[in-house]
Amino acid sequence: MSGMWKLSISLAATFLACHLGRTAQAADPAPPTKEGLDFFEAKIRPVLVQQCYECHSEVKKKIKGKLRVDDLASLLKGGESGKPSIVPGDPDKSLLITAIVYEDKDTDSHDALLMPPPKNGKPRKLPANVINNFKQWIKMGAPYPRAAHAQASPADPKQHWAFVSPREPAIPQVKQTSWARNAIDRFVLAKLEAQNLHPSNPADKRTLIRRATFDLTGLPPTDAQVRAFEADSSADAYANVIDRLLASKHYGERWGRYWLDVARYSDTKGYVFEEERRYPYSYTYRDWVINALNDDLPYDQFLIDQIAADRLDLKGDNSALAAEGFLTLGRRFLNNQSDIIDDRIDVLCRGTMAMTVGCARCHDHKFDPIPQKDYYALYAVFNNSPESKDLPLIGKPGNTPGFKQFTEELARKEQGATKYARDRFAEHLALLRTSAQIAGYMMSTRSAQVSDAGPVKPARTAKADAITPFMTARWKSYLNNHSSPTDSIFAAWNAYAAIPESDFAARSADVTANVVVGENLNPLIHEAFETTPPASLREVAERYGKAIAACDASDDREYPQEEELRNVLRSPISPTSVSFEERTRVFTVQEGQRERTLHREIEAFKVTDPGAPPRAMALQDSPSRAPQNIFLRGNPGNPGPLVKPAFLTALSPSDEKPFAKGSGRLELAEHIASKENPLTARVMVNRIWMHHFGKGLVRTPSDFGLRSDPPTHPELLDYLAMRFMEGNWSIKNIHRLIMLSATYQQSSDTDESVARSDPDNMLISHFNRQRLDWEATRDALLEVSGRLDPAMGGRSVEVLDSSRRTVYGFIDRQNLPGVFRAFDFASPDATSAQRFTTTVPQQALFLMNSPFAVREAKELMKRPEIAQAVEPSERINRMYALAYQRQPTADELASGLKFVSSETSSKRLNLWEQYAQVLLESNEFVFVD
Amino acid sequence: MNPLEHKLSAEAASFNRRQFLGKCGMGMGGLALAQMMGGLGMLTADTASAQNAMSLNPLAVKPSPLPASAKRVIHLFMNGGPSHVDTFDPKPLLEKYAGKTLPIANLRTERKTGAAMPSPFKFKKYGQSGIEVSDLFPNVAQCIDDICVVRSMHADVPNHEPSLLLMNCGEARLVRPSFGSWVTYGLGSENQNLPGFITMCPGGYPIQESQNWQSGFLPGVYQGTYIDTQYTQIDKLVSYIRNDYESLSEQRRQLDLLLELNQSHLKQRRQDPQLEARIQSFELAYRMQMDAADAFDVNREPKHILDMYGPGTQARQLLIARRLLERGVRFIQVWHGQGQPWDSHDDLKDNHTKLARQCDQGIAALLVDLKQRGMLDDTLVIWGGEFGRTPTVELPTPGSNAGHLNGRDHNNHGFTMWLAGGGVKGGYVHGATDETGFKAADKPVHVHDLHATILRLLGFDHEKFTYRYAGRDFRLTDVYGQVVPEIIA
Repeated sequence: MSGMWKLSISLAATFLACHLGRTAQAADPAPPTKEGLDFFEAKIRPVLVQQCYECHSEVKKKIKGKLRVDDLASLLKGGESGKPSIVPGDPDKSLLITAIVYEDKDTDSHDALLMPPPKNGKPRKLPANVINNFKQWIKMGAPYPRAAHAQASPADPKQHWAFVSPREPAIPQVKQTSWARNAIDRFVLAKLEAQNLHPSNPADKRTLIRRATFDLTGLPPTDAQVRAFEADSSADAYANVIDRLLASKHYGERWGRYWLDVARYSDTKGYVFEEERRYPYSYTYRDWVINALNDDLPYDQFLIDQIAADRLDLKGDNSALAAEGFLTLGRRFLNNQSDIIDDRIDVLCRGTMAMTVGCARCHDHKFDPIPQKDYYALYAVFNNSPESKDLPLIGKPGNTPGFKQFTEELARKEQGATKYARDRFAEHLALLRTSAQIAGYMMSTRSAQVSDAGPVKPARTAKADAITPFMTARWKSYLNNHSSPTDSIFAAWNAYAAIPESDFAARSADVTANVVVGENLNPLIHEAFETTPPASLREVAERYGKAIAACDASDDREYPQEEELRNVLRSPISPTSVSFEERTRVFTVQEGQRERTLHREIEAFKVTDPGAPPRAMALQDSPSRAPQNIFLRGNPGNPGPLVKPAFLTALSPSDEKPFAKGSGRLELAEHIASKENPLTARVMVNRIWMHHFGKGLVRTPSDFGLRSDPPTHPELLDYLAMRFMEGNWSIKNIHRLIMLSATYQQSSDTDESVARSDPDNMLISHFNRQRLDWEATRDALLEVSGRLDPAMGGRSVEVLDSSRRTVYGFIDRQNLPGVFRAFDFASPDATSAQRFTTTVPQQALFLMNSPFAVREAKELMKRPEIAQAVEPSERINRMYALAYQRQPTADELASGLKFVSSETSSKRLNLWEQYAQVLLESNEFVFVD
Repeated sequence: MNPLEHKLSAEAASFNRRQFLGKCGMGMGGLALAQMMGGLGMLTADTASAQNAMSLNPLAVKPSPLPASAKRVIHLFMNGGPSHVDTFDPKPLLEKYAGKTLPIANLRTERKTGAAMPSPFKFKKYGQSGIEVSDLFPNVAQCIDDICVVRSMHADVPNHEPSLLLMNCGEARLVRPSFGSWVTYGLGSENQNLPGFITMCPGGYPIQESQNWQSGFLPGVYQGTYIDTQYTQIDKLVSYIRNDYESLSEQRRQLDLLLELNQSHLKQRRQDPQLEARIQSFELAYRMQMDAADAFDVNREPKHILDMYGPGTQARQLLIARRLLERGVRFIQVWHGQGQPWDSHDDLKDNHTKLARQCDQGIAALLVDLKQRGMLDDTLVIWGGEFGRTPTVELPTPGSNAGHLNGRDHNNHGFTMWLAGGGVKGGYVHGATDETGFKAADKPVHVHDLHATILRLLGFDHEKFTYRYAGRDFRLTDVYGQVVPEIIA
């Protein structure tokens, strides 16, 4: 408990300080303290948002009492009463407190001031501790962050470095000019020299080619490649290596995976009830990304395709449609539309611009200039961008027997499902038009339980002829429209129904006498009651049922009265004119389940059949644009003012117009993939830098907002961004630029002084030693053992049973295998620019004990060059060449020879295999210097 | 000098493995702590020093920011929703209205319910506190003076999925870290040879599956490690925990060579801590194989302990849990079983009787056992489901229940959870439902409030225990939650 005491004491001290500060200098309040602001954020703002914003904030068109509580100035000025709502330091004089203590009484001059206002006559007083918090907050001087921010940085938040377009920086002068190979080095060196530091020695050639190869392809170089490079003394030997690596198909597999982290790629929808969980075509997105990177698709086009390929003229090649998987393959949140759109807004804004727009779902962003209306302006774009119902085929499926078979089988399955639904539906319609059902529903409308609004839930019935709430509501509504005492069909029903149940027998004859004289009454209804008065209301319903059903059944209807009765069941507004789309409302539970099962089987068939052609998970624009409201507090049931689809205000000129074309998605894409956008190029070059160096120039790669870390080398970041845009957004150009710098080619060794003065290597005085990630670890094992399957693309595979590259592994976001998590795989639930790097024993256990790791050791020994080397030391030499691309030292050789010459040996893993496993487990294998 | 020249110095050549391990065992903790400057407030996904600290030893023990009365947590999850009016919240009024409509309208739950359904179980007073418990839990009842019964719990909706996520992650729909992940992230774990957060469920996953113990935006290492306790063999419980290809001594020989190679590699790289951390992870993994096998092997318990827990899967997993707690695992979740076992829409009497028989003896044994080992003081035991059940009978819904008219629907408006140990007030009843048992009436405790309180017991201010992600400082309790001081002893 003492901790809590400490907390309240420190708050009290804060309060005293603020309070005294105020008394001394009432006109010019002291800037709020961090504690004060924390108090506001923790205790006050949530209550304001929850309880007051609905009526008293800018989201409301007509602000109640002309008072806004989302703005300090407005609170200080007060609303239409003319008195301030808060008087900092003095709760007793603050009208806000008067309102929330709930003790105000009506007087002649004003109604009682009670907030939150009573609802349906019930008071809604806030809990006592909340009221106390408000008093305390006002006593503290009402610390409020907007004002605090204005004081901390008087400039417009739009002037935040990241929101201002990059400019061509001046290349700095340096002393050690001979070191610099390109401009990058001058930016880095200038900072080092300013701190009296110096760059490290260049890395040796083996280290360099190993680093470059892992960096660009995620695989180790071969020993031959290392030796060729070491032997090549030409000036462009290294540049040639980079070009070779950039041209490798493996490049896209490595760098595509980085983008798949950003795109929170997964092959499943997350938790589902009954649907097929797998996405049948997620892989088409993955393959598009890999190909786009291999083709060096300009990054602006890379983004436009992923956001709005369907809005482009694709000139006959629609493969780019697959790019929209970027938006569509997120978690499905049990198909909750607003959560799906939230996920798309987040992946788009953090993924491409490092803007945390998702924070503005419920209220204005606390730190960045992102008002809530910006969020809903983007929401409007996505709300008018439904997924294509029939996902488009990509390219022309080959005329293979597999495809033909698939198409036929799919058509058969789809016809089967449709036939099932149509047949059941027809049965239900026929049943609903029988006399028994007509009578049953007429009676059921009398039950008090049916609400006028009608039930929202599907009918949950086991029996086909059960009375469903859905149909009862339809009948009720229909009969309500025919409730006139002179209605030509239902006048009799209305009259009988008006008799109280207990009096029915007594009054039936009288009512019958009246009814049958009705002039308007349909002769067939007249006929039904003419002879014998009914004994009960049920009998009335049954006579109606018979009369109506008879007209419906008869083929020749000579008389208009027959047609009139038939229309009760057949007119478009008839209760039994249920549409096919509404079929599940009349289906039994079992029928509904069966139909969903048939559809799930079709989806599973698309997921698994080898002949299924690739399709794009594409979006389209709605035919007409639905209006979009702000959702107050993020609640779709609580609509605020209308917004138009538009780009983020912080990144737009003040006269920016809303999007005009369709959903606005293409315009959105063009605003992001634009040289005018201050973030897009910076964000991407920072990430490229980060994947090379392990650390970005901005160390918060998905947040460039006001609370992000500023760049360590802002001019360098701008320089790279300018080169990127100027170079037609070529990603490969940026790789070349970075990798040819002396900065990149430094050794990762440091000296003691640097380790002390710059432990995080902010100044880049050396290269950062990096551990291989999960994909590169597994792929390197496969490559070295000789088992790597170089096939590219296609459906995802179970990664631990496969020898494909890890990027082709099946990702189930709902139940990600433990080994993925143990090796810091990016969460497939949200965009992720950088992985965690943890070191846990589960990683070691995988390498020590898993069948996969053991298999790689065995396979390594089966490689011909190893198996054929009979002489032990020669064999060890070759193993070192494969695993590390170098020769063992004398000590290493001796240790190896000693290890394999032991007398004990397991049958399942012989000494050589054990030795191979050790080499594959070592730090040298998984660390890149 | 060519840094690639792998020459072992005389010092390294004479390197003694035991010395090295000794150094690692001590060295890592100090090293990690040194990296932990700034404490929790600075740990965010995006800052470099935090990444360094986490990467070196993400499970290193971290002190709680406030004094803590609980050091570890075991959450007994009665998934499906046990009925409070049949277990820990007696409602005599239901007898009076048996078969009749309650005087207040039935609250809206997942399905339609009808007349009042009196409990088929008898309640009796137990212990010095005289708290009433039904005859479903006669053994747990014997420990009632150590238990704090919270009878005024409430949640948001009467459906399993959102309620499970709310109870586990503090958010019903979106992806957020689970409670256990938060705690393991905040405190680390006291045993580096075992995962810090373990979740056990026999027979498969509960519904909503592994999302119940997800790490969300926290590093994956803080996610719950799932263990299917229907199995007894160690290699089916923990992935890759055993090598099927060679003997332990052969593996030791491999690791000795690995250590030698890594050590010379390290020496040429100025003792880079990330290299050192990985070296140590192999030694930890090696020891984990023995320690985990030992921890999960309940047959090493003496007979009187085995007898105390009784037979069956529940007893075994509870005993495993105690062995793990004893070894310093930070957070353990013990689920009753796959799916939603406590979901008695029909035949509540038979089903609840069967379920309670499966776990009553084991849970009581766990409480007694922890107490006799002096561990109950700082081990927080949490018992409950994702919600309770209606005091009224569930009406037949064809296709959904059997329509036996002898079960209860979900009830999020009011339900019971109980806490024991870890600094909670024993023999105390907090709050109450209304006299029908439908709704939390006196001192309502929302799930967020429970989370806030539990975090306080563990030494956290739930409003300050945050993690910066995507531009926001996230909390387990989002923007809600009030500590319930009465629960704390």
